[in-house]
Amino acid sequence: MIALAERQSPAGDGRETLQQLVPMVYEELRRLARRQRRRLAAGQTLDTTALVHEAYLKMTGHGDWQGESHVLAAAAIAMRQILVDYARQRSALKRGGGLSAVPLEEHSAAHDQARQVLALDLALRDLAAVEERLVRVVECRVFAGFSEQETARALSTSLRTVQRDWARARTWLQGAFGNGGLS
Amino acid sequence: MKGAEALDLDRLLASGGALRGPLGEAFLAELVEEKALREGDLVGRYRVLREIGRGGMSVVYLAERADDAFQQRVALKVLDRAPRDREARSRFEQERQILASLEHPNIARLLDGGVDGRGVPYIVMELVEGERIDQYCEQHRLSVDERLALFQVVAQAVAYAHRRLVVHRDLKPSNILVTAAGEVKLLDFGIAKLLDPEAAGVFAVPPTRTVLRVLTPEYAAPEQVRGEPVTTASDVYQLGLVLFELLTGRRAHDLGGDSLVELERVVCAGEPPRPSRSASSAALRRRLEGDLDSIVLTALRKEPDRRYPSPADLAADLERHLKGLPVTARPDALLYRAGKFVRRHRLALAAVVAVAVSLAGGFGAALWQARQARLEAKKATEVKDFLVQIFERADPFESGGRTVTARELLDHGVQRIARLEEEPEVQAELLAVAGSSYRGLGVYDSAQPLLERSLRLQRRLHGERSLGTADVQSSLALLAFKQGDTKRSEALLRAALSTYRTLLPADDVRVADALVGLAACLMDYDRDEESAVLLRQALAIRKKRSGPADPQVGLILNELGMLRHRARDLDAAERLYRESLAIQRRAYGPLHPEVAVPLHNLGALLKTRGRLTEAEAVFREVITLETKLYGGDYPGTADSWGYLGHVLRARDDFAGAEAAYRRSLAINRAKRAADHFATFGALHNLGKLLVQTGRAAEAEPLLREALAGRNKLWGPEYRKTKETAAALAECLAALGPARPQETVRPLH
Repeated sequence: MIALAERQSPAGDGRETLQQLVPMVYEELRRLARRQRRRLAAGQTLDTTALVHEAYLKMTGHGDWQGESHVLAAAAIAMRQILVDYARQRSALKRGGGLSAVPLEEHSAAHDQARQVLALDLALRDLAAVEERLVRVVECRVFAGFSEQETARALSTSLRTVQRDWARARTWLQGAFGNGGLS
Repeated sequence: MKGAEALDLDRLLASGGALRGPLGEAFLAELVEEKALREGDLVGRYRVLREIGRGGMSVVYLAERADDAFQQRVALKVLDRAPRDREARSRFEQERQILASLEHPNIARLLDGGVDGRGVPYIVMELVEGERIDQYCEQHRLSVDERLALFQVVAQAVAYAHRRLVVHRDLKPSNILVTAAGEVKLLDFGIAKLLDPEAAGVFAVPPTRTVLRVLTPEYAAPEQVRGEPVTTASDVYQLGLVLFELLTGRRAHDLGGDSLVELERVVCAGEPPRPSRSASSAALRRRLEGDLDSIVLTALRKEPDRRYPSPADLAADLERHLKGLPVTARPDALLYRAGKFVRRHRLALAAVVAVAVSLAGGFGAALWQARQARLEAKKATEVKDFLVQIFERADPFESGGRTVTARELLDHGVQRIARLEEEPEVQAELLAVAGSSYRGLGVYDSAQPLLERSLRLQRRLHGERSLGTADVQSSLALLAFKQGDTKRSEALLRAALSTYRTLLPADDVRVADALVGLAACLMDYDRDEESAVLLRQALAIRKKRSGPADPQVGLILNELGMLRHRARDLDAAERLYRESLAIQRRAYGPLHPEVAVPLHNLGALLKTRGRLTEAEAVFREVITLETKLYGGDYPGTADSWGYLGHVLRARDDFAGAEAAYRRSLAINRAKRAADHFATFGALHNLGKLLVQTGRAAEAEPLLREALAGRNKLWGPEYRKTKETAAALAECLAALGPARPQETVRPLH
């Protein structure tokens, strides 16, 4: 992912460019997941934590979390897109439109989370109109799974700012849901 | 909505973000699943017959026209991802049409393409039946001049496409085939770009900066790695890599691991490799030094504009080189060596001599004549079985250069098979014989194309569900299993088994043997219980049809023993191994490879049980046996020495253990590839032992080498890499603080 690190100039929003990253992140995840799968015995499940961690390391091209903060921020956005796409695809399955051979059970944890992710995505689109920065924080925390410290690093901001933004985003999101505007 | 539907951010965060939660798990699990098409599936106007290849972003199937009176077979390439939007789709369409306009005898034609019902794009290409150019060169033992001539054809074809403003972008040996008629065909021209919906046009100019998407890291040009524009010069670079490989038989770049950082280091910063330095012999080195070195290095320059301006210029340079050198006639050493082989074994092995003579004199002719004389099929099968046996057991007859001789006889035979085109039945059978023989010799790369060709012929002659097809499928399955491709092995065996079950009685031995193969695949997936069921079915058939003392019964008992061994049912495992051993000894005598197999397993079992004296005796017997059979430096013997070392170390016989490990290391170094995992295992074992016995200084370089090797093979996170890192840390600690501080971490 050298090019990924190179291409992301910190200037500007860069969302257009970021869209191009989605397939790369997707491929990287697929490659790592397949590699891990090959090393596992049958019946063992993938170690998603290790896998995702490895994916971030690959993307930054470094052995640590410090470098390439903007790459991590970009990855968070890509992860949002990937998960939302997937959640959408899974919801479509329920109506029999999908291709997958493994239908999602109505009340599985993954199913619940798919609905949550779709609801969150919708809410974030509204939130973007209010304050884009909060959206970035939510993407880092929820979709990329970064800790507060990692989020601060990814967004090149202070830990306190992240904590404050996160609290504000939560309040706003809970409000949006509480009003029954989303389902 | 409220209640259960309310957004619960805390729960999303609880598992460490959505990607690590249940949704992410489901997503990643689905990512690794193969979404392959099956036989009979329709894509556009084409019906899928079977998968024939798999690339980074697409799967290739053999397919045929579903709507036509005539049966046209094609290669159907299906992208594994849908284009993102309508614009990307129309670009795909547009570029496809440009590629369809390429008409050149050495470029596989793009016939059709489109988007299937699922929105997935596909392309249909001319089906090329041939071998990879590198394998073709090896197979036919082409001289340097012949290789250069073949390569010039490739370069000219690329030059033609460049004149039509199409860049290949993914030139590599597997994309360049040579047909049985010796005709070069380039595959996948411009497909890399076509399959890349994010990228702009296929034109070389104006260049667009594209997202890095190196399809084949080993063949990436520096500008591709750096994400810079890909132009005709990138093709010239890749041609340079191909030429390097054709001349030396080796890859130009030795890429460690799969890190893209490493890729950048090697491709963009490293010195371009000099072919003559990779020459496998002094003679080849002399041939490559000078002209050919500089031609390859010019093609491989880091800066695109310092390479040959076009592939045509590269070809022209090679032409000048060829004209400037006198032809060197080489005596054909084959018949001389074959004669020697025959003489050496005249008395001892008259039957082998007879076959060897028929091989040297007319590999195909013997069988062909047998057919002509209307000998019954059984007879022909016997001859074939005999031949296969000879070569499967070729190395045990004597140590040393014997393998080479057998191989040469075989290589010679293969050339004759190619000339049997008017007799496809015989050809198909002999291809399978030769393929199985190469497999027996462990020359898997040569075995594969022959068996594949045989399979194609059998299919054409007798159809998918025929015994001929099923037999070759079984043979290919064994090869795939030996190559570690369990998945393919399983698929082939299931196909063969289904045919056998339709056409043969339920208790036919071929059914049994396919079951044994399938059981081995399942064992690979840890599906031990299913595996045991199949083995017991096979055992019942074999006992009934071949008798309880048949070697195949012994083989199955050994497999069953392995299953009990894995289940820690050590009593049952020991019983099964001993039973298997007794059968094999009775069937083959004490000195046979099949005897070594259960013996080895028994040794491992005894070590597990802590019966070290017995284990030592068994491993010593295995080593004696292998040494007598294969000579002292058979790679497998290295593993046996390693086991013996473990046993001796467990017995606190450190001197004995050290000697055994050293022996193992020496054989690995002499007989296995430099980066074979067994070599690093031997280094690790020896290093650890030396640390344990207070010789840390001696151990350090060994452990360092083992760590570097394992790191390269498996990455720093793998259990074994970590074990070596720990051993090295212990070693450095033992060396004390007199040395400069350093941390031991398996870094990329």
